[in-house]
Amino acid sequence: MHMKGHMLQLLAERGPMWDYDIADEVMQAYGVSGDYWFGTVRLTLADLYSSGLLDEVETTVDPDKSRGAEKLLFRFGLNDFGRTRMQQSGLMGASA
Amino acid sequence: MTDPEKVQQLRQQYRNRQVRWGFIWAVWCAVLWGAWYVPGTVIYSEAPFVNLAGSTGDYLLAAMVITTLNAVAVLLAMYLWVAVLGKTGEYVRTMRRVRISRWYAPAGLAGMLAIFGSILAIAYVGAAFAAVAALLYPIVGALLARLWYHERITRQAALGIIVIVAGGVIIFAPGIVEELAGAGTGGLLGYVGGALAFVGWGIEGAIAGRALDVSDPDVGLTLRFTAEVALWLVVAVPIASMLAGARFWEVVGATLANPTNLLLLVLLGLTFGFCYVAWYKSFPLIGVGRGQAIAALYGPLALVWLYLFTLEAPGLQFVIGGLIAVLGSFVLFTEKRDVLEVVRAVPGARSRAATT
Repeated sequence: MHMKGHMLQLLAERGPMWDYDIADEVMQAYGVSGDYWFGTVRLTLADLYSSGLLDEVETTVDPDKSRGAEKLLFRFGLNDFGRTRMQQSGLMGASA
Repeated sequence: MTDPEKVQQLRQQYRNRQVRWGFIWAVWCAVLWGAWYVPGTVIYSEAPFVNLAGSTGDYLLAAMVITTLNAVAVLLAMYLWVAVLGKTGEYVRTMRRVRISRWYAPAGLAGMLAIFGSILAIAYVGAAFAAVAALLYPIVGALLARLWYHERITRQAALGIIVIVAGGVIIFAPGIVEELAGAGTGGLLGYVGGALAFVGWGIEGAIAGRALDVSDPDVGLTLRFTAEVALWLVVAVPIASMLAGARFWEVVGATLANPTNLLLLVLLGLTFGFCYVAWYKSFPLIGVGRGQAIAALYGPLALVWLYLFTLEAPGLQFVIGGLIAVLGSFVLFTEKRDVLEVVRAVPGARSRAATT
């Protein structure tokens, strides 16, 4: 499964998640690490949010969770449109 | 720490950073897209294309070889870009998700026709015309969004479309009237190319958006150019080599044997590949609307680039029509949206999704 599909599947299976938790899961699943991939996952979430597939559920600030930097952290949830797009793209129920 | 004031301050900084980068990417897209027309024009002054102006068949052969090699050059630039980003594995994984990657085939076909049309328009009418003719693509995009996704065309969007059409009439009409009256330069096929450009890019955008929802933009663009190269190699090249015989391969060989052409192909690949990358990078940051409106500045920028490199002033109708079309794009794309919001309103998306 590609990274964006895996992220959507995580949100579909587990419900709303914090971006740093999604980043940890994704980096572990794909065997990558570092600020670049942490940022890439957050950028992909911003992309999914702006495309209307995700809703922003909650925000917080916690430097411990954002690699020491003071960043706004988001908790995202998959919405109905996101679910529909996943179904149309064969991502619902497909193996991760 | 969840101090509301701190959260508010960071949210503001986050938005400012997003908007700044969104505008930077969109302006880069306009600069590179406009620059693409320079090597696209200059290549016609090089062997073997400079000698391919004798007949319609020659023109078509030249346009086909240039467009095919342009697609290969862009794909190589994209492979390099994806490798630098560490996303080559993502490219393979996304390609294997056929229900997603299949959408890039029709998008690639539409984009391929648009580029072929632009190259034809450069040869028959001129680069200034080719550049501003493609500015009409939002008309097709908006109409397809209405037909396929049942998006409502608001009063402001309709006004934007009317302004763009007015710009289009100024760009296309004088030349076509001359052609039909028999006073033209035999460039009717160039106007057909100009129409192919804006129809093709309008269709490509409408199709690609669906696949980009669920795939990475850098990878998605690479798949779209993979599809275009595959279509050229599997469908168009065999047909062309049947029609033109050995001459087709002679032209390809002569093109690659001229080192200036290789440099021009590198420039074509880099400008076109990275204008697409910059375009799609701007969307999540400032919204598709603003990204497309700013990218429309490629039209006037192309006229500036072409003037700087060729010292030939563009036709007045292209300058006026191009500026009107850019104005129309801003009216169409920037309707009542906050600087940073969800590109699609979710309730609208829900009702739209239910109908597809």
